[in-house]
Amino acid sequence: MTQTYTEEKSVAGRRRVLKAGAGLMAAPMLGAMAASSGNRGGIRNDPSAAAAQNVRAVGAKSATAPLGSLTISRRAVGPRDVLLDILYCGVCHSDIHTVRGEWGPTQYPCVPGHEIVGRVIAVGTEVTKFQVGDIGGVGCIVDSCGVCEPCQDDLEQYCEKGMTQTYGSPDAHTGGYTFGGYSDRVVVKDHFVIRIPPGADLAAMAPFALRRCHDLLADAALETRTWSARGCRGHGRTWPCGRATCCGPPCRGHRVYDHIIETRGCQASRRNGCGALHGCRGHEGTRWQVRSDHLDRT
Amino acid sequence: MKAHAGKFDLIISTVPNGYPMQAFIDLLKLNGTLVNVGAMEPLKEVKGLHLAIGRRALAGSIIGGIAETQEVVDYCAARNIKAQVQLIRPDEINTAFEGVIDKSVRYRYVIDFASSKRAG
Repeated sequence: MTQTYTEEKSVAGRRRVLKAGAGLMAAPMLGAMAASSGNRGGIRNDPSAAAAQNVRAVGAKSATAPLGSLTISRRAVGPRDVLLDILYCGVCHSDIHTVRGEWGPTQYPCVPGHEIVGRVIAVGTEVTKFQVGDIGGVGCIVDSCGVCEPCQDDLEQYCEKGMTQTYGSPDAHTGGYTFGGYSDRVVVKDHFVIRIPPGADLAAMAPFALRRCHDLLADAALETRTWSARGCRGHGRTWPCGRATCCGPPCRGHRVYDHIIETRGCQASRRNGCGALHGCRGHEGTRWQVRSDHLDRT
Repeated sequence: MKAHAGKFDLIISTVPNGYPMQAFIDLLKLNGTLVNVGAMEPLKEVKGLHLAIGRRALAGSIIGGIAETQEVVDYCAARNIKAQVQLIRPDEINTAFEGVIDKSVRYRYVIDFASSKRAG
């Protein structure tokens, strides 16, 4: 059922190569620790945490079934794997699209969730990026080939062999498909686990940065243009519709406008110093409108 | 919209459904780009002529890479930038889905697994 992951032969280039064994430290947290605590005390070694295991999950068995409690398998912790005890998982509209089969065929049962924050409770022998007790995050992607040009250029999301998404993707480790963060635990290759700095608000971190940070447009192709999208970095907030968009104060002398399909978004945006393109909902037959007074304000 | 034609360097479209895009293409100035990150279905009403005039680009983007995501997380943590969230229990997920679909959700729903683990 499960396979131990074997690292690809050569991962050089810009990707950091993590070596040096740290020993198989498998240690479940004693549940009483505060979620945001960086305290690593009180950890008990328990090699069984690194074994393949069944965990509780929440998912759907068909496109029309409500989500319910399920049991899923997580693979054994391989040499480059991290086992996370999931603390928070954001709910994205993508989850709904996938569960309901709206983005093409979906594998069922489907356990969604790609905005994961959890505590590291076991690491593989070759993992140096994390120690037991650290906080890690997982976004939309959990694996890629690691050797193609995009992967070497830190663009794993554009892997030539296709990225492995956090849920619903064919899973090379198990031969099945991936299950997401609406679950108790997850095993992910260390490279794809984001370090969450100590002291961060974990619930608020889950949705914010572990999702589609494309909204902050770090794509290199765009940076070659006069507009540096990186200048807008960090101004994201989560909108009522769930979008983290560029909505902070104008930066680097650029004027920043929002076009948000909901009025609520525009109002919040103006509080942040943005001009707002006031649009109606974008349904067919609806005319988009611009309220020029907002443009004039900035 | 016509009054603002040709004024924008960059437009990021997060609208999650296909919608007539021509009006927004026309807002772009020379070499401007409209980046679609929302609609994953066929895009509507984009006339080639309106891209050619002004050398405009219609682009797409899926997600960030790992290094970029780490950078964003570090940036936000250092500056205490947070998402606004509403915590829910795992057994409230079906209600939460409804809230996302009908847009009654105010901030982002986040499933709280931590509370039950602390209690346990």
